[in-house]
Amino acid sequence: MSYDKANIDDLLFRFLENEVSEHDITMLNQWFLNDPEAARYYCNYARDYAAMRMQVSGEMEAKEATTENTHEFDIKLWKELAEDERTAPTVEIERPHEAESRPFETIQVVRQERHVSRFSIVTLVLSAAAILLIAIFLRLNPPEPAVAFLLDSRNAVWSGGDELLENGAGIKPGPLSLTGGYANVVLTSGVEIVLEGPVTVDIESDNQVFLLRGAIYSKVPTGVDDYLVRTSGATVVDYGTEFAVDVDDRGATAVHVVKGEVELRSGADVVKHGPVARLLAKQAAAVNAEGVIEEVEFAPDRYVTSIPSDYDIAVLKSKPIAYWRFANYGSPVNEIVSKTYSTVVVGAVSATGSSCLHKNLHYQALNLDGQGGHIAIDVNKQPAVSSGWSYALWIRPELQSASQEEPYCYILSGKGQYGYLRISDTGILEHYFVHGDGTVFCGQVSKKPIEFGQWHHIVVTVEYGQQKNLYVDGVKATDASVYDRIRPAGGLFCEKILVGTGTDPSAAVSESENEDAGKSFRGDISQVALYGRPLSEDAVRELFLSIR
Amino acid sequence: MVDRTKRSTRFFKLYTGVQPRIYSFLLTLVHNPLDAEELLQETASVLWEQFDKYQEGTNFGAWAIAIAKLKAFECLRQNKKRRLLLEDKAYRNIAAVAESVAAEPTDHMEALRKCLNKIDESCRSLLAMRYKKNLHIKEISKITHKTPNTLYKTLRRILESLRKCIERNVNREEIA
Repeated sequence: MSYDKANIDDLLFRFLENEVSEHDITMLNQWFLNDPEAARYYCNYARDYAAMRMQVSGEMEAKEATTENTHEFDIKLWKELAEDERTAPTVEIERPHEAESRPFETIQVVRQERHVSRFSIVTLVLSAAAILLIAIFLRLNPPEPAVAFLLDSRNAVWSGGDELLENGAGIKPGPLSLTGGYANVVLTSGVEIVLEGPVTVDIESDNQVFLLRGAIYSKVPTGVDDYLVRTSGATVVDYGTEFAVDVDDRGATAVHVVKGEVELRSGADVVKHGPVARLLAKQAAAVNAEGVIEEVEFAPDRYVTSIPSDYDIAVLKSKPIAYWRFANYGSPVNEIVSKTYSTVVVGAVSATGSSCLHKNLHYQALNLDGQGGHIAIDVNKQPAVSSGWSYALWIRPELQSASQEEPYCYILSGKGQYGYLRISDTGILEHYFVHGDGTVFCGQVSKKPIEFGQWHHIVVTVEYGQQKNLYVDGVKATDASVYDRIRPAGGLFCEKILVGTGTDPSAAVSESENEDAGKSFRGDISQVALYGRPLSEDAVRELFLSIR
Repeated sequence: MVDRTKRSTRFFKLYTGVQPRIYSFLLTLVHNPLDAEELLQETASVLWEQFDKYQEGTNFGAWAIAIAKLKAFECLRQNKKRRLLLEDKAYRNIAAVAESVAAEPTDHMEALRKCLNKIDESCRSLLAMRYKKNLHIKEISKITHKTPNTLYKTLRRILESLRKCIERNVNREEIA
């Protein structure tokens, strides 16, 4: 692992000024734990920093004596000394005895003749020549300082060498090609960029990036000025923001602004450029191959904003038809697979911090208040598929008041095809379908209750004409022999999936199908994946085990 | 009374001799100037309260650093949820080295005094705003019309120049 001195000094300075970010701390941890010289270097640096503070702030003792509360101790001491001085009896001081004079001894230093061997002279000349050569080499080929660090990566495949595979490695200016996987790179200016392969990018400086192909997502912290992303046909100037830049195969550059404001310029030249467009949050535009700026649909969900977790990767590998991670873009919905379905936030829904999630899930979750807040996903009257379907999600239920008449609350509902998944006040899970007259068919109940306040992985799978299954934490949770097989005439279809409730409140009056399905979920829901096929028992277990 | 006075005088003399080293040690470990200053006071209080146990002729500095170390780790434990902190192992490594650095005889303060006299007025002014008046970097940014990032870079470069200057001075003294 290589560390650039200037960057380390910069990190250490901000560390001592108490102005570090989480990324800085990660990098420092890696440095301290991997470099045996790190602690010594830091201690010497901190000693000089402390000395500078002390010197500049004046003599510490004098300063402390003039300050009241925080320096109580010294004042107390001074007062005590003053009181002693005032009340102390006179003490006679004995005159010290004259020191006995000691005669100086004269020492004769005998000058010795030095013998220099021929071998020493040859060694000296060769050493001098070697130092000179090294100096000339360094002058002609000065070592380039790293302008960025690889903060984190997952399943990353780099082209052009393995040296970048290690997290924490310094990155020098030059092309960087990620053929697969994900990487999180932080520039020494503090700008963070997220890469998803295939992408090729040249980090030109600590504040400037040239995107050759693929897409990058940039997060620019406050206080960093003039960050630029250049492409062959456009320049994006940051004005304190988060945004994605994408270069397609035809050479067009698209920009999607998630937060803040950017300026999109036609042309790669920083100084001379063509037309300009200012883009605010939730706006997108593209410079086409002819250099013309045109408005495009804002679609930030196409880009990864942080490295996917192990669970995300397992889900993506299992090929869902849609997957919602619920990261916060101002609205807590983030669909990362399907571009087809639109989502609407209804009522009180907030995004909780990643600390609430399992350690390997990383992302935010929907926090639902049990008062009707939910997410409605329009699935366009999705027809039933012949082979069946599945969905997987994470939940952390909170116990609702037991005094309510309805002892269940609804986790995920999809009138028709997806049925109703609910949890009782005792922690028992139940999944069922209803007939048009409201009678339940094909219901399944979990054998054991799940624990409130804990995260659980839930999967429902249905194979048309076969038994459906309910899995909790990777294990089948129901007795498959108890209930009917799903075999409705004419198949099933679904218009809308409701995450966190049983019935769309706006349509509740006309809902004869399921009048009692109104009690909403209280707790957290995250990582909802929808499949157009029934997941096998092994696939469900694999999904769950991916977080280990 | 005379004994008390002697005790106070003796303590004060010993303490002022090691105070810069304790502060430096504390700041190295807790990497927060405000916490370091507060811990310096707490360390001094403990040293004064337990000064009776101190055996004349033993290493007062080592004793003071040992107490400062306990205080620093106590502070880090308390701050775990409030601040961004390193891993425990990193702090243990740092503490071990910082103790030996604190024990090393050094002419750094004297060398630094000379070096500070050599820096130009604008740098001196920036240092005074930050470390004498204790202005936050954002307040300095408003006064100087420079971005916080630029100011941090400048402060870091000043420190870098001072460190080089100290090194030159200390080496010269050693050679002399």
